[in-house]
Amino acid sequence: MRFLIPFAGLLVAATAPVRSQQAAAASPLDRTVTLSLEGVPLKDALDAVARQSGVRIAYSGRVVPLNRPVSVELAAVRVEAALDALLHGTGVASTLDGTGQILLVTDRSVGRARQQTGSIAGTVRDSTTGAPVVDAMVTLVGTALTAKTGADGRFTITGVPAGSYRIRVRMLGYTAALVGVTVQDGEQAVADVQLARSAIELNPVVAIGYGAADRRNLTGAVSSVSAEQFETKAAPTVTLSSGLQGKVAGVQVTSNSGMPGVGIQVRVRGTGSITANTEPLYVIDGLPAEQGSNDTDPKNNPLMSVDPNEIESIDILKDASATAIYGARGANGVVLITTKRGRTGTSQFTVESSVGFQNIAKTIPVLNAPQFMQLSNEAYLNAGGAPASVPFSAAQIGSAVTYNYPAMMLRTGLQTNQAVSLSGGDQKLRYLISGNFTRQQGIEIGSDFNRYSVRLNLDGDASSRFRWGSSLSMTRVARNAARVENGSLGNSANGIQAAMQFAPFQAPKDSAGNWIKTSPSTEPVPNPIANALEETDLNTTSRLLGSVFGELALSPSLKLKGTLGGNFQFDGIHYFAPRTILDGGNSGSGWMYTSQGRNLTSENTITYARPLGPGNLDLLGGFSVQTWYDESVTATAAGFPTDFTNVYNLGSGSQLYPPASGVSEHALISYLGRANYNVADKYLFTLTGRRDGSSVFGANHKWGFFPSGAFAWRVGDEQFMRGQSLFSDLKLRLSYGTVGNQAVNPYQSLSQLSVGWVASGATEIPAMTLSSRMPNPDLHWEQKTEFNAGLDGAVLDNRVAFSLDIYRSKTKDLLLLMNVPVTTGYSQQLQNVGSIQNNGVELSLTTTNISRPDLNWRSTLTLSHNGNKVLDLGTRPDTSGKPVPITQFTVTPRTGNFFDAGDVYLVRVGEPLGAIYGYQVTGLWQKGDTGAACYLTNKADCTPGEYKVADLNGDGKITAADRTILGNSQPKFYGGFSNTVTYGRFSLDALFNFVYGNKVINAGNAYGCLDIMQANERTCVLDHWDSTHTNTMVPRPNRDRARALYSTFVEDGSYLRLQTLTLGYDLPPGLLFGGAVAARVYVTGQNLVTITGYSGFDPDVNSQGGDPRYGLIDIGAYPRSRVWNFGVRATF
Amino acid sequence: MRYQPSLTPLVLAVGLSLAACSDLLVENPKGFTTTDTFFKTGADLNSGTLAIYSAARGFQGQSNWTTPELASDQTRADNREPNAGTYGPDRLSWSAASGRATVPFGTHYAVITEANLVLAKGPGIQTSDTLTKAYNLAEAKFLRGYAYLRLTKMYDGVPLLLTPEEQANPSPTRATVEAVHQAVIKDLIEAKAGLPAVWSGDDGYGNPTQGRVTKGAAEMALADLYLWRSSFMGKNEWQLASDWADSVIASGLWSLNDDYIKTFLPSNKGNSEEILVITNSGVVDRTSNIFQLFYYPRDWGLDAGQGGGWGLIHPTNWFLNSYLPGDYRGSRGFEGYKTDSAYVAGGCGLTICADTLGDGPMPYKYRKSDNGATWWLGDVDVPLYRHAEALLIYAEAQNELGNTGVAVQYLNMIRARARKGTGAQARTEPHDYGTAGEAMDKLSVRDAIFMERAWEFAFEAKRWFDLVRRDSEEPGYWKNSLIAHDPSFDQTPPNPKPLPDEYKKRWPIPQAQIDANPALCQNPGYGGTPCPPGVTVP
Repeated sequence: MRFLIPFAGLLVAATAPVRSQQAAAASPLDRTVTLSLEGVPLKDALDAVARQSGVRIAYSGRVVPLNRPVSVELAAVRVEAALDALLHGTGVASTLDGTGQILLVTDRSVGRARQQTGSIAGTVRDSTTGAPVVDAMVTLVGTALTAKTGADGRFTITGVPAGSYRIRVRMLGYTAALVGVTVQDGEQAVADVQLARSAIELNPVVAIGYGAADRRNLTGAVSSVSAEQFETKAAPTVTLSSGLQGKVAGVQVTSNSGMPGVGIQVRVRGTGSITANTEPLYVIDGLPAEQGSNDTDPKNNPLMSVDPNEIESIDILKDASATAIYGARGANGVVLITTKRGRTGTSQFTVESSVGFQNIAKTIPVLNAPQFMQLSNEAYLNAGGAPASVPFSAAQIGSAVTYNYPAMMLRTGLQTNQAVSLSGGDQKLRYLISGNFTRQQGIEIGSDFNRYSVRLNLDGDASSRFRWGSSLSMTRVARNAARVENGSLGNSANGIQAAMQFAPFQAPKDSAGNWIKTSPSTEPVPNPIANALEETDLNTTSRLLGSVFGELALSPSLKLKGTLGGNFQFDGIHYFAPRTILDGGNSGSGWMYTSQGRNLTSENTITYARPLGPGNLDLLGGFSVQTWYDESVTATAAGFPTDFTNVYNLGSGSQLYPPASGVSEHALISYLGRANYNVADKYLFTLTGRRDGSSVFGANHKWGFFPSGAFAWRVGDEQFMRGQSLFSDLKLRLSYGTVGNQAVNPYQSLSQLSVGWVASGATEIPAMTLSSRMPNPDLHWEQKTEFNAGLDGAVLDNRVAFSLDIYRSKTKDLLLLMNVPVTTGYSQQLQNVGSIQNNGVELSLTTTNISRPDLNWRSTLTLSHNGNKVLDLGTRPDTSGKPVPITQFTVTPRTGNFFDAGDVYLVRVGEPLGAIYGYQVTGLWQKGDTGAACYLTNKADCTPGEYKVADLNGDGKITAADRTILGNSQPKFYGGFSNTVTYGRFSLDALFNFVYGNKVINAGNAYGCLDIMQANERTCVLDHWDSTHTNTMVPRPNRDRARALYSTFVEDGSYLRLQTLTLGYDLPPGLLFGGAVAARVYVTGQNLVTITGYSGFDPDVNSQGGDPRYGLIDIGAYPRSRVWNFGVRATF
Repeated sequence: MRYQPSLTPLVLAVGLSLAACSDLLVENPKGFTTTDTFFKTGADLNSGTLAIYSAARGFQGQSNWTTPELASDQTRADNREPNAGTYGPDRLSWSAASGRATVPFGTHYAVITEANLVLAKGPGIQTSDTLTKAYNLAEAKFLRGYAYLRLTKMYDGVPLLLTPEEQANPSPTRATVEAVHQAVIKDLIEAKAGLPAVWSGDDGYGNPTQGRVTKGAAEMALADLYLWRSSFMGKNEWQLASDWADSVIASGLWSLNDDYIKTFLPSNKGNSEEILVITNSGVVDRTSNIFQLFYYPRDWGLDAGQGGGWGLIHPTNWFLNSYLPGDYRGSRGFEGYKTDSAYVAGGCGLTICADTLGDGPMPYKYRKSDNGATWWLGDVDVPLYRHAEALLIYAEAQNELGNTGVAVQYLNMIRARARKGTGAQARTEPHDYGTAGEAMDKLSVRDAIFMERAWEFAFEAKRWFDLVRRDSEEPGYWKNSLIAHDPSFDQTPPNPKPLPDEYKKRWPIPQAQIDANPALCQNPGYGGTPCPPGVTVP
């Protein structure tokens, strides 16, 4: 039996169950008890001893300080020893009276006993490598005395009364060790400890929002990623969110492209919304810092400005029970980021430095000059052009020189990371100061990513009742992205796609050394080399994120905590196109954008814990106010006397554009509460509720309430499980609840008037015009209801640990922009209509494959499936005004006019979001074929070599009505497989990612393999149809072919990737330099092998970013690089 | 509770912060106003009135403008134009679900909405400037009436909504053409009564007034309405068309410029020939317009990768060759941007020269003051009604009323001005109609007037409506003209193009609007619910 008092917000460590020791004990004092208590009132501790041992303990409240907090860690010790430990320093001793009852009386011997004390010192080392273990917690069992090891692994505990003790040493990732030691008065006892790496850490502490909990006591679905996964192994992980990829079950991470600092989508348990935001809420050190944004602009991703080295842990709240504490913002999941903090002990100084280089992982060949010219001629002739006026003469083709634009666009990119941190402190004040600098050159010229940040985290105990802390970080990110990221095709192509389209016979500069501005092809693609080298597109984000808190313990069981936080963000864009390139016109053009935002938070919570009936009750109540303010200003000018001044003298332009500015404000007021009831540590109940009031909603619906409940049953701790040896741990979790999605822009419910303009002569006059959005006073939250069932367990003596979750969620009252008749004066209205469903299974499996002193191999597999389905899209009236369900609507991508028809995505009831909608190609027309439905240009008869498009509605014509769903971008499953092998001082980490069963529009091919030859294309067109080569799916060259989305350009996006591979070596003491106590060198490779059938650069791509209605599309996105990184990390 | 004393300040603090916070949930936007907070003063009303003009700027947008332009037999799309959305109107390849012919429906209701707002809020506004207030109400009536008139010329009957309350109805039905026209007549007559003949330089709130509507504009719209009713609808209201045109002519406020081209030059804004224009400042892109880019040569613009034209709208060969030799309005220059002709056929753009333009001559009557050096400086005012049209409506009405001689007299005023060339020239062509032995019968004169309208109003988006309305007088005229004049319908073997669909004379109600409001019936030929009698013109 075991007894345990959990306390919200405080760590309650677990101990292994100790059983069947009670029966044989003769004297009550010889009975054993097991206690694991931290900061609980003495009275509660005494009650626990009494209950476990069955003895009665009598005392007077005037003698015994019953409210004194005590912390003990006792495993199966005698009652007498336990009482000694609990009463240490109180001046109270225990004595047994004649009835078998224990009396607590004033100890007359205290004065003598305290006259002299000794101390304990020692070093904690890794049992395998012998390296010092830093930050290990050393506890003198049965006392409140603790210490932490310093950088050299040493610890000292002073003021120890003489006697025999056991010290307990704990460290995450190691098995706790118990060592006996005897202390003599006035002497220092030595206790060196070896810690063995533990098989699997089953019970780490996880953040759950407004508190923390032992994982064993969790009732909700929470996934965690620990610091070690973000440290040296992932050093090339410039942005944190890509470091999450594959590591967490149920969390799908997709990047827009391979550009440094690119936008990333994080979807927790599928897509729960159609047009509102689907990104999770990010909470950094307890501060709800930012809702992620569907906007592709990476500056809206708060993770971009957090250095992975600063992270202690990331906990992801997934089910409604876990996220309900964040109420209206919980529907997309919550990512809790905890940064590292200082710990008591000697100060520790860590330096890390790495350098790496990166290259393109895969290239796609394009046509050379003669091939391009030849095919252009054929395309012209096949389109009915006159033979006399073909674009290129035989002489031109014969003398053509090829310029390899893609190669000119690419380079080897260098990257460097530097980080230092200093941490330490004592009980009064603990500190962590860190700084880091990351610089990454992109593999496309003109692109780079720079980040520097500093952090100061402080914690202090002002008294035994009041503790405080602060977190403060400052970050600046600067990205250069001079038209290297491609979001478009044809004339508007950028970066590598433009390079692949540029006429290969044309030198980038003319004979006078001036840039050729556009490609001399039918599609006048702008010169990507000139753009990348000459254009300025500098994006900066500076963020100041800070919070302070104070916590007052009114009693050991009742605490008040107040937190004030601020998140200040400053964004800037410098854009300048000089006259030497197309965008610069004849005399340059540029603009400067600057914005500042602040987000202020005040959160106040009260926690209370007490035994109740058969169990223990923890209560949390809180009140929170959060306000946001954003303003921005843009200045634009053109026609400069010189390009030299760039954007720094916009006033010198001869064309001055009107300045633009804007402001946006909103507020959220919340009441929150959570009750945990723990019965016998086996039956765990959680009730959570939050009531949110948000300014962004309609006057009639400002407030929403989001309740949830959960139950967990620690089956493994039941009596009936003792007989079996398969499961070493087993827990069942069930939860149900409702959370909200409030992500709409402010002011949507108001009847807005904005400035329209009229002219009179050369004068401009502003006029107040109606907005096209119809106001909606009834606008309110999307509401997601989710059921979750989970099973956590471990088998084979903890060598295999698993966590399995199944969930079913339904989001209703979706925020959808609905068309309204223009006769109303408006075109659209944001309404709450429709619903969507997500069902899924998540598995996380951790195994210890080999566990020997010299060789250790552990693996973690995450596997997730999410089935998404649109259930309802609202209604529209029929001719009699009766509402009829809307069954589908099509969606045009942001840069949509390339395809004809442009709406290549479909949202349909019964289908998942992300459906790709286009023409089914069944083959190519061959000679002798007949049929009216030829191809989309509506030629009268069929031409061999053209696409044979399925006439799905059978009307004999190929029209937009013949389009069908060509695939879906949601994967059937995805996940990751990570391995850690340690052999002596070597360690090897390998992370594989995989995605299976999703479809991607390869729009790069839809241009580059369409064989229209309006600009350069990829070498796939060499396989085109002709009368002697008919067994192909590449049509004949034809300049007039409609640029529609054919099924040939929808590809399987499945892949298996060796995402990172890290080899590390811990230097032996003899090799340590400069006074270092530990040092590690490592080499990391990233994106080393990708197994995929996808023909573009990389299947992990989403050129158009975040909008959940969109399928995945690859518009010749910035290619992913292969990275090699070399680093060293030393601790002093 | 044991800790009550300590809790008291906490409860107080939370309570106080709650009291302070509840206002946080009320939105008080700073960057814009709302209909609830606006429309309090005379200046607000004037600003709301200008918003109607702002909405009417949509009339020069690509869909509203180039659809009737390209659909006519007078123009064609550039052969190099790769986008179906652009050449679509030329081939009449629109449907209810797609194409540019559906767009104007919404553009015009935006104008009507702003006008209804002014007419609803205006009467209740207390202001000392009662003169401007009266003008504002009259302006709103004119612009609403004019928008409904234009809608009927494209779509026949449309939902007739005359107040914000009526607009709030989510499922209005289409009114009969007659009902819409009676509302138009009421609006225009009241507007004529309330509008100034000439604006003073200031509208009372510090704004210049060039481009604001006048009595003359209302009279022109009435003349246009009766011309449409008489020809397209066969109503025989020629006398009314004649009277309203005459009242414009007789007012003496309007006249023809000596130089035809000068009428359209930004340097001559507000000239006495322009009765109703959309004004473009050219200051910046919010009140300048891409309008001119439709006509600027692609060779020096888009294809050269620099500022300048899209080269979208070309004259058809038939039209280019139809001018009487020596007509200034058909003159072709080869000096590029320095030309003083109505068409440019080659020469130099800003930096690039092309002896001949790749796809033939381009119209050159709309000239930005920077001659195409940039793409953003759009400062050409877009003509909607000119004095020349008053003369030609009068001529047409008189001819239909049997007064052929009077008709020819007014027709020849247009020709006489054209002979002045750049202003002081004395060209021989176009000679006065009738002086070279032309027939003076009604049909011949009608033919001459329609041809004169084509020449005089070339690229002013009028020809399509002339084809449509004359088709009612002479069935087959629309189709035959398209087949004979427009290469999109060229019937020459061996590859004759598909014939134009007869039903496309009327544009389709947008399918998206029928989806949003199924109570809307559809014009014949486009599918959907047929309309009750009177909604469409048989």
